[in-house]
Formats: sequence, structure tokens, C-alpha cells
Amino acid sequence: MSSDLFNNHIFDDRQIIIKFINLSWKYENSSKYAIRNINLEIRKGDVILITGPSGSGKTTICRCINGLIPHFYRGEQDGDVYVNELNTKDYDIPVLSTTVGFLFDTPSNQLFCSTVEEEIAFGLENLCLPPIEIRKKVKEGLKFSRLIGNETKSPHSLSGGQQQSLALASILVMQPDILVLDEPTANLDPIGTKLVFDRIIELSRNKEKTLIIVEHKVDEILPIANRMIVMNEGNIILNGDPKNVIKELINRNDVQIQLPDVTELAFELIKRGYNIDKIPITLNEGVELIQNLIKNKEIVISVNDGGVYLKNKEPRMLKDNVAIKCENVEYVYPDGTKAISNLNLEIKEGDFVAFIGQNGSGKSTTAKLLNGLYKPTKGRILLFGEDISKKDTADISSIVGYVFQNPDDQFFAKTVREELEFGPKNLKLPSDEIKRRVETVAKELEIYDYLESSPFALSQGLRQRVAFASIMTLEPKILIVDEPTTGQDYLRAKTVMDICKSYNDKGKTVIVISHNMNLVAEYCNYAFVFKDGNILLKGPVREIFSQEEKLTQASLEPPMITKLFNILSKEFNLPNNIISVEEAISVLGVASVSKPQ
Amino acid sequence: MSLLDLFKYKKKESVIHNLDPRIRFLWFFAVTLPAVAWTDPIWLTLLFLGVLATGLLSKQSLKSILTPLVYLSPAFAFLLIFNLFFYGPSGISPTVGTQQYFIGYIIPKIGNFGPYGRLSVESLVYAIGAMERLMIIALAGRLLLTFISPSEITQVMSKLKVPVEITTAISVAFGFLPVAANQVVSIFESQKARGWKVNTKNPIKALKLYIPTIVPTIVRAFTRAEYLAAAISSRGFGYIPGKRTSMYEMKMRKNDYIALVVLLVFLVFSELVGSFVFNIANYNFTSCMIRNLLHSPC
Repeated sequence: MSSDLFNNHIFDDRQIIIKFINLSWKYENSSKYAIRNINLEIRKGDVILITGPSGSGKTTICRCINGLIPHFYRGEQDGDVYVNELNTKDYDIPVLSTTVGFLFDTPSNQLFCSTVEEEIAFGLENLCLPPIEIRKKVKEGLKFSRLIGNETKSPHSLSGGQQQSLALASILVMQPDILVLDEPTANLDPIGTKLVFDRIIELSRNKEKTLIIVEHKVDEILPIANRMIVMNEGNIILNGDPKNVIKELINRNDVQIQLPDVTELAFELIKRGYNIDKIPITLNEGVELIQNLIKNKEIVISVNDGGVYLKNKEPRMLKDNVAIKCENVEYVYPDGTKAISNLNLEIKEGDFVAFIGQNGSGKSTTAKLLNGLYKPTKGRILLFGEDISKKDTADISSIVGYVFQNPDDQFFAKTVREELEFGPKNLKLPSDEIKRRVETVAKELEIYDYLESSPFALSQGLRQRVAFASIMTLEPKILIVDEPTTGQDYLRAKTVMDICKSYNDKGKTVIVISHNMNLVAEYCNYAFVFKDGNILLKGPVREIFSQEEKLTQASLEPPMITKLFNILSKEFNLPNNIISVEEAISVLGVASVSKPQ
Repeated sequence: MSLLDLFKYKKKESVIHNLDPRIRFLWFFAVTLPAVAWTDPIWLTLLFLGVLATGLLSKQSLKSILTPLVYLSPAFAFLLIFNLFFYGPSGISPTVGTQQYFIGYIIPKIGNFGPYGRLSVESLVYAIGAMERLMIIALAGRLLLTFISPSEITQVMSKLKVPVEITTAISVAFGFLPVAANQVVSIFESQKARGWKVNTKNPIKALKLYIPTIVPTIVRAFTRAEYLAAAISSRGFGYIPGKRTSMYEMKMRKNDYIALVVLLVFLVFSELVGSFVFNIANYNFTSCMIRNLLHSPC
């Protein structure tokens, strides 16, 4: 481990603005500490990326900085936190809010005013600024958030990205020295994510604010961060220059973080004996690395298949049956908004399909048409050849299962068992069949031991499993999973996709709605790209992701590894349709190499 | 346009929107108090037209003004029929003690069934008036919500020395209404996807069947409330509560003073002609007029 990873004694005359001294915190009614013995110094102007698995203590650290801990959340605190030399124990949240701005992960949970301008003004009004100054700062906030012209709109009528930009502007106008951004893009689509990251990058360039950013999507933040902190089980396990931290991560198996594809590729090369001094974290750095390795003949390309990667993914276990067929489907919301127009799609039984696109592009609406929650205003939908246009959701629920994004929207029962029994009981199945289904599914999803527990008392990961299980007990032939990876850390997102995969392995049709292109590339066979209520692109995921320019029309980007090979293929005899690091290693001819030639 | 949108504040440039929020509040009282005090349908029709004119002055289309009344029409119909049935069933006007002018029965005698509901000139006039009173109050309330923002409501309340915690809670509740509505929709959809449906007419059974939607709604409301409270505190709420300022300054201008005088004069006038003083805007005025036309003076 590099010597500077755990200390900050490198000469730096910038003022220490945040100091954690032996801080431990245990939430009320929790048996274990959320964070333990944290010692941390953050200097003025730092841009710090904090990452790590869910439940590792990242959000708790953030809450300690703005005083939500110990003033809002109850629990047990040992040690101290100083913010601008103020001990957070002694100063309440409103006082600390003049120094620390806090951006939460869910936009809709932090916007509470009736109009955009009132939202920006809220904090300023609390700080008792004169009206004329409030109006001036509101204009600045509108400009920063690119919301000029939307002053009188309801914040909740904006897109997710606009909402989060608005929330960011609302805290920025209060002119805090420190900005704590707790997973600011966790619940956003790619456009929203870009909008928010652009604002964050803009702030980091000014170097006036200290930025503390908690993120799972590290690709965008790594290039601007001057420090990276990795947390696990309530402890800081790595802390230092991002490149040094990343180098250390290669040797650790205790924490899984989704690093940029180019970084993962460099790791794989290092594992195979390549000596890489400068670990790439951006696409350009990745291109430069591979270019140099090829030019220095450390990598000799042997692929000669016309620039197309021919190797198929796992053979698809497709049946001949058409599971879903939409014929000229149109859907208009009761308020007159046309959500879907002239949609035609066909999905074969046993396929593993992704619906991708921006929020509002029609993915979820299409999915809800498939399970009867919405009725097409025109056209018809056939499930296994049967027209479902006149059937209600309850009748279709045994054919199409729909797992919603938030498990908390469905839990009501005292025990997990009752929760799992709910669906089959609605189908009026005999009690022994219900028991069989519940226990089989509970065993498959490893929640059998929790059958008599309250679903409300489970961790987020287990709650999501229960949500899946409660649909699987209906034994649907088609499973639709709505944004299962949104806001999840890498490991949890993979776990969710593994559940989908194992269901698909039984020959069932699975449709996943997701913004995570890497996971779509890794798991799905086929993808539909939605734009403006219709399908812009459809095809095997490899074909879809190789059409970078067309994807841009839907404001989507392929995985970074695909972009890398798209660039490299123009210079070298390399395929342009690579969708995973594993494939990249294979086509670079280093899969079986232990040392460079 | 959703039902919720009909009650949502929309900022517009209009004579009404440009008035001081306190005057807009006063307008509401100036039209609802006569609606309580008056019972005569002719007077009430004039008042209804006045409220309608205010809506048009606030640059809302006639359709959007009247649509909520269509939604509420079952309530108006119920009030009308209820008053027809229960207005002086003995045939004597309950307020003036005179004999009613009998027209017929609402439900005539069919075989051994009926007749039910004595219909008289007085009961008809009174019931129409009662229905109009509800229409005016509903319309004025709905219009007020569309041309006064939640923050303006809280400003007016602040001026009335209501504690800032209460005014902010009201403002947040208004602002959060669309989110809460979407939340409920999402919960219903989640349960429908698991085969849930309510197909009973027994209200007790129906209530039990609704538990799978009621519990998550309550749980989610509590969780959201916690997040909201954390977000509100993080934006400095409670810094110096007593000195909290507002982006908008409430200043009375020339138009506001003119509107103030007009509304005050109208308020005094409406109470004078109302049933509490001179009792002119009383339904007997119209019913007697009709009876005179029918050659049966009161």
C-alpha cells in the first residue's frame, strides 16, 4: 500500500475545513456501529470522492458533516466532528447549513415548494436575507441550474435531472463553503446524470468550494477528484490520491466497486504481468494506454475478422413461441399526453430483453401496457397469441409479473411469508400450492430464514429480494423488472441481475428496464431503445451498442469499453463491437498471456 | 389535465394575480359570506356571475372554471333533492309560516308506491338557492387556490402572526401534494400487479381489502416526512424563525386600495341586504314574485 494512502501529512497549507476525530456513530435501535473510529481531515477546495458498498457508512459520514447527526438522527456518538472549527455537537443544523450544503439522493424528497423560484428562495428566506437580495440570488440559481423560463413551474413537473440541478442550486445560493453531495445521480437517467455531473464539474473548476461527493458511478467524478475515499463496513479502508487508491483496489477482494472499464482493463493487463505505471481512468487515457502497448508491440493483435467480434455471447435458449407481440399500439394518458405511438414489437419466449432509454421515453409505459395496468388506446397486445386488451391486471398477473423499482411501495404484511402468499392468494390457489410456491421461491432467493420476519425490518437488499419473491410466487411466464439497478451499488445491482438471469435460465422471458449499460451488456441478449414513445433501435445488445451515433439520438452512450474499441478500431485491426472487459482481453490476444512477450 | 391540476396554482399576469394576496383573500370572504347570508336564487345568481367574472379576469378559460363544478355536480344534485324533500313537508313554509304553493310530487303515486316529496314554489326556489350557495363557495374556493400561491397563503398567515412552523407546514403540504398523489398511484399499481382487486360492494369488506394499499401509503408517508424534515432543516429552516424574510414583499398599491374599498363596501352591503339585517336577499322575494305571476299572492 502506498505510504500516502492513510495520512494527510504531505505538505499542504490549505486550511483544514472538516475534521473527524475518532468518530463512531450507532443509530438508535441498531446493534452495530454505522461508522467506527473515523479520523479524517478535509481541506478547503478538496474534491473528494467517497465510494464503497451500500451500508458501508458513506451517507452517515455526510450526515455528520452537516449536523443531521447528531441533531436529527438519534443514536450514540463517540468522538467529534469539526466543521469550520465548529463542533457539530454544539451547533444545530440551521447554523451549520450556512457552511454546509447537503444534496440528497432522491430529488423528489428534497423539493417541497410550489414553484421553482420559491424552492431556490426557501433557504435564503430562512437566512433572513432582504427580499431584493433573495430575488437577485434566485436569478443566479436559475441561471446555474439552467432553469430560466421555468420559474413558476412546479418543481415536480421537471425531469429528474432538472429537479436535482434545482436542488443543487437551492443550496448553492446559500453560499456554503462545503457541498456534500450524497449520491446525487443515484435516481437519474443518463441525461439527468449528465446534467448534474456537468454542474458538479462546473463547481469543481471554480475551486472555491469543498466538494464531498458520494457516488457509485465513479467514471465522471474520478477525473475531477483530488482524493478518493473507499469505505467498507463503517471504516475508511482507503484514502488518498485517486490513482493510488485505484492501484490499491486491484489487490483487494473485500470490496467491489464498479470502476471505469478502462481501469478494469488496465487491472486485467496488470494481472497478466503488464507493467502499467499510469492507471487510466478516462476514455482518452485508456485509448492512449492501448495505443502505446500496441505501438510498443507489447500487445500483438491477431484478430482478423473484418473488424467485427464474431464470438457469440452464451447461446440463447430461445423458443419458437412469440411471448409478446404489440401491434400498432398507442397509449394516451388521461390528461391527453401521448406516451406511446404506433409501437410494434415482438419478444420471443425465453429471451432476456432490455428496455433502455431516457425517463419519459415510453419504457415503463410499454411495460405497464404489457401487464394490463394501462390499456392501449389503439392497437392490440398479444401474450402468447392471446389478446389482453380487455383483460385486467389481476387476470394477467399470472402471466406477466411486474417487479416495481421500490419494494416499499408494496409491503403491508406482518411477515415475509404473508407478503409472498399475497399474490397466489389473489389467484385463489389452494393452500398447499401456495405453501409450496412460497417455500420454493424463498429457498431459491435465499430468504427462507426470514419468512417469519417483518419485511419492514429487513435490509434494503433483502427487501428487494422479497419484492422479487412476491412476484415469483405468481410463477409468471414473463417477468418485467423496472429499474432494478437504480440507486444500487455494483454488487447489489449484479445480485439483482443474477436473480433475473436465474429466472431466465428456467426458460422464462425476462424484460429489464435499466439505465446501467454495463449490466445490460453483461446480462441481456436483446435490447429495445426507446425514444419519444417509440422504438428507435432494436437488436442484439452487441449490435445496439456498436451504433454509438444512433444511440446518441436517444441521449444514451454505450459502455466505455465499447467506446474504447470503437476508437481503436479506426486505427488498428480491432473489432468495434466489444461489450465487456473480458471480450476486450480476448481480442487483444492477452487472455492466456501471463507475461508480455 | 388531471383533477389535481384544476386546483393547482398557476402564476399568470392578470388584474387578479397582481392584487396583493391579502386582497385576494378578502375577495374570497367577500363572496362566501353573502353566499351564506343570502338565500334568494336571483341574488345568488348575480353573485355567481360575479365570481365567474373574477375567474375570467384571472385569465382562466370558462371551461377550466366550470369543469370542477361538473365534477361536483353529484353533490349539487344531492343538495337540491335533499332540500326539495325536507323543505316544510307539512306544506307550511318553515321560515315565514305561510302556506306553500303546491305544484306536485317529486315521486308521484304509482300504484301503492308514493307519492313522495312535496314540490312547491317555495321549496323549489329555496332548494335552487341552497344549491347555488354551495356552487359559489366551491367555485370561489377553487378559484382562490388557482390565483393565490401556497407561499402567498403562508405570507398572509404570517402577517396574521401565525407561527412560522405552521405556515411552512401548510406551504410544504401544498407543494408536496403532486408527489403524494403519484405515490398513491404507484402503490395501487404495485398491488394490482400482484393480482389485487376490490370487487365487493360491502364497505366493511372493501375497507379490509384496501389494507394492502393503506399500509404502504402510511409507511411511505412517514418515510417521506422524515426525508423532507431532514431536507428542510438542511436548508436552514429554524435559523432565526422570528425574522424569516420572504422573497415577495407585500405592498398595497393603488389597485389594491381600490379593490379593498370595493370589497369592503360590497361586504357591508351584502350583510345589510342579507338575512341578518334587512332580509332582502331572501328566497321569499323570488317565491312571492312567482306566486304573484301565478295569481296566488303570498
